[in-house]
Amino acid sequence: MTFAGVDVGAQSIKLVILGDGDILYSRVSFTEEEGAIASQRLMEQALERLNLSFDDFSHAVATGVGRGTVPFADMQRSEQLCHARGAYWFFPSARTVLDIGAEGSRAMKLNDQGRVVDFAINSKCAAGSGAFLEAMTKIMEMPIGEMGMLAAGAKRKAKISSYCAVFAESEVISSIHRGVSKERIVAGIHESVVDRLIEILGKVGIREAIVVTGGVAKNIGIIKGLEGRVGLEMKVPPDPQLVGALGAALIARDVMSGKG
Amino acid sequence: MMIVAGVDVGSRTTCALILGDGGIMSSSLISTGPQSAKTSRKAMKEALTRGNLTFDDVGYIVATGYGRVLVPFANKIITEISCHAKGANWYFPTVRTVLDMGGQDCKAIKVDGIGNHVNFAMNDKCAAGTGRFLEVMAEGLRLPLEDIGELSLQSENEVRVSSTCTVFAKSEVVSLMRRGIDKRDILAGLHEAIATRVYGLLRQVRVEADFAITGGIAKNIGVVRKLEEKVGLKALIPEEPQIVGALGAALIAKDNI
Repeated sequence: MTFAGVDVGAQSIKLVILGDGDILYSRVSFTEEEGAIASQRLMEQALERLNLSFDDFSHAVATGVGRGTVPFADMQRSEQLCHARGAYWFFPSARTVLDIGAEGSRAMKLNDQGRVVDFAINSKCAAGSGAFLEAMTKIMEMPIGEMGMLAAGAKRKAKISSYCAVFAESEVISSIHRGVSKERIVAGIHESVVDRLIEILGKVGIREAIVVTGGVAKNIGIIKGLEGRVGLEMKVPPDPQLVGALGAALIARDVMSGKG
Repeated sequence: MMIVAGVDVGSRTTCALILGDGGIMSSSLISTGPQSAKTSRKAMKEALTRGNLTFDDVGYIVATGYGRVLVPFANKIITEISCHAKGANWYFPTVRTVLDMGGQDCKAIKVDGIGNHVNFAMNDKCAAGTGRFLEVMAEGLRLPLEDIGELSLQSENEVRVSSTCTVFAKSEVVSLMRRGIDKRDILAGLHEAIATRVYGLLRQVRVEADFAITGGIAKNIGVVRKLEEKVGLKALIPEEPQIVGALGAALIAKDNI
């Protein structure tokens, strides 16, 4: 049997196709198209590659901000549930899951069976999200990955006192003008994001193991910053941005096998 | 004659105002540069030149605003809350609630009959409800900032803008434009979002008549109309809403002599 999970995020759409055992296909597509068109195309490409038709699908679950737009979805599930499910599949020891997306972050507390028992979200404000880092790449004239590497190795940090991404932008510009080193500024930028993430984590409480998902989990500066502050290891699955879609596909499979 | 001055060093705009026995003698309004001390001196010089005065003519100077501690020639520094309350009372003695919408912050201030503030609520953590938000949106829509107020009033099909975060609202605006939505309808939606947000601040202090709006955003008629709708009162707008803080500072300077 085959199952599909689609995660329609703020910046990208992710698709995971699951068989009875492992992942059969996965794809991330950065698009500015509407969710309905983009998810349909992504699914058709997957079917062609796998030599399958829509009828071969047992169940499809959609998640993400645009989950309501996916035309072939049988069910919709929140990002909290999907990220938690995906993270638990990779790491059954997961008790805290932190998802850092392009336009929001969320922390989930899991019980020993992997069920979400509590969660906290910030999706109203760019502070502590990928959008904050994205805004800074323009000013620092550096790709996001390079910024993360530089921050991870920085010895000293510049203090970014603004909470708001827009105010932080001006603060960063004036630091550049004052001649503060790029390394220190970038470290300060990452610390600001880490501060916000610690606030969200604090709302659900931290229990080991901690799994970090979402596109920003690929940023080594953020991961090292979190580890420094929490004093615990952050587990990052391969392709962390796919975890929501994977979780959706897993939930589709759980439902069909009567476990959902 | 007693001559005093008030200098309001805001995050975006700096104002110097000279006050004589007969009222406002002159004022200046310039962009705040990277060095607040330099900017404050330049604003002061401009105001003095306009009033045909020299530094020695001025008996007392009060500085206010975000960069108030950096004004080298100030005799005293006072918070902008006190100054806005005083300035608004000078323009409108009946005013009891002042909403100051500045470049990077927004404050709701309750005022008594002699211009003392009795209560206030403030947002200086987030760009929503500040001039900065509107600047970023005008830029995204490729419209001059001074035109967006009037344009929004021409909207016939207002769209809902769900974000008040400047960063998220900007991407929302871009995607609305891509969908071919009229810029005027987007503007109306943006002004609605901002007014809703700022109204939350006003509710914290409980609005009482009369109601006045000061600061640069008071020049945006679109935001003013939306706020009037929510508050249920007509807003009093000073002739020059950006000088109210400096005026209040000058009035306090006068009291100090």
